[in-house]
Amino acid sequence: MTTLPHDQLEPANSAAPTDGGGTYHDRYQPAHHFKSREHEFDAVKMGVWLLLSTEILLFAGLFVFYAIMRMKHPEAFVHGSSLLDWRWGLINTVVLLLSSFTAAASVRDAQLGRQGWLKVNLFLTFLFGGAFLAIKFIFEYLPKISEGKLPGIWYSYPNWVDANEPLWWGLYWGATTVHASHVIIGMGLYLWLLRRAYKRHFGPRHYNGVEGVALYWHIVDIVWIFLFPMLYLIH
Amino acid sequence: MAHAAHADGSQAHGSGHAAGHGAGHAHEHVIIPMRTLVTVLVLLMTFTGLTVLAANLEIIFATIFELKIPQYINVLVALSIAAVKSIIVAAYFMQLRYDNPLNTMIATFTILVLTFFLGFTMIDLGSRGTLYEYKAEQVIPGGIGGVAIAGGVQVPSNVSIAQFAREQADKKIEQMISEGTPLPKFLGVRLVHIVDELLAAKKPVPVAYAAYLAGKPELFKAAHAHGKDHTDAHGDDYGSAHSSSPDVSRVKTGITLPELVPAGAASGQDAPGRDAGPGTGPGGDDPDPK
Repeated sequence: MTTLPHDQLEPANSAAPTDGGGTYHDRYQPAHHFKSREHEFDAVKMGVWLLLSTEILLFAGLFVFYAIMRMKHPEAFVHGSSLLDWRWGLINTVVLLLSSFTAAASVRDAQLGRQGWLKVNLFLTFLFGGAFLAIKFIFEYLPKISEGKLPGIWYSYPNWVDANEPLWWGLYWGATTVHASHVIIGMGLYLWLLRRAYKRHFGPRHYNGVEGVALYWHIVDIVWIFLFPMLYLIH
Repeated sequence: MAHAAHADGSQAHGSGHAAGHGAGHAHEHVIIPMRTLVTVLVLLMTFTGLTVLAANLEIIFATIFELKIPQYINVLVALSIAAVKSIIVAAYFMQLRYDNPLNTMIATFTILVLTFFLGFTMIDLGSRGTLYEYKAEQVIPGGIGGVAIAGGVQVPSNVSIAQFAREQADKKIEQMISEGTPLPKFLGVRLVHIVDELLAAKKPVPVAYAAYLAGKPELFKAAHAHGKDHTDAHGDDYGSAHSSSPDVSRVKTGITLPELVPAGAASGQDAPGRDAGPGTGPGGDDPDPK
């Protein structure tokens, strides 16, 4: 397994581009309250993990809601689920897995100082996020809106089998829109990373941003890994 | 690449460096090889295919061998595969395997808290019936009536939102048919259900309804295929559970149109037929008065 050199070592990376007196990431100094870049890197990463744990707990609320409602109203959930097309769910799962791959690859590119590939992978991750949202909106949300498969007081779909189906749609819309809002936030972060990558902010000695956002993006992917079978595949 | 050469193929030797930097810096920044990333991606795709396959195979097996596979198996298989996928993502894409163990502890602790949430909720739900059985009577299935729904319409207090949705759709169908407007597909499906319910209750079907449905076999197909995909696999689970649902009273066999349409009614002159139809009196549009 390849490892990065430690803080004390200079990056022995001949491929890393330099702009005369060194690029941003070569000259990067940690904030003054950190002992070293290593110290800062650890703190940043742990901070991101703490954020991710709150994200897991946010979605935990939705999972508990799912468990309760599924136990109380199994027929409503089974019929509600049969009204979703698992093929769109599958396509979106594949899209998100690909985006997770490009996100992981972008971290690797930053570590190796491959500026070109870094930009490509950041942009691809952004694009996959956009594709996920587009598929969701055009093929899933729009038809459901027009047929009144909506939560709570917006519900107007007549062909229910179990009268508790508005609860199912409440869960569907609640879970998928909270998840989609995370995708939107992640896409914004990737645009920000892309802008910074064009300024050569990231390299072997400094890639905290790429790493942190990738972690966030992976947790969004993991949430979808659970939402997909829970919403589309139960019967 | 210069630094790629020295440690390829071996794990980070954390202990060796720890001597130089103090105990707090025992880990290193690992660059995950491309081959590992691709392998992980392929594994994740395979597991995704597997979970879809498992869900569909279950239906096929249940149909072919007339098995009754309990619901929890479906849930267990799907969630186990999802758990395996998440662990792979966390270990490799999120680098927990190579990372400071503190981050793994944060993640594990969060999962522990999540299982507390789920576990205690399940204990509560599972034992609630013995304590509060009487409370079930107070629940109105399908949402609480007496609220103002979207558009400012007031739902009567004795009717749930779901039931109200159905009544509104039935009114809209009646209006659209009398105006001659074509119905969107989901309302057409509802119309087939209305006709089914009328037939099941041995009530005459309004001629305009029958005339609208004439020549639209795809609506019958959609309506009758609807509840089928799950009644096939788990047939008997559902029939009894749905005793209060209009889906059960539905005529399952396809309806032939000629027996619906009184002779000569489909061609013109539908006014007397409509008058003869049930439930078209003032305010009595609900075809399912219970």
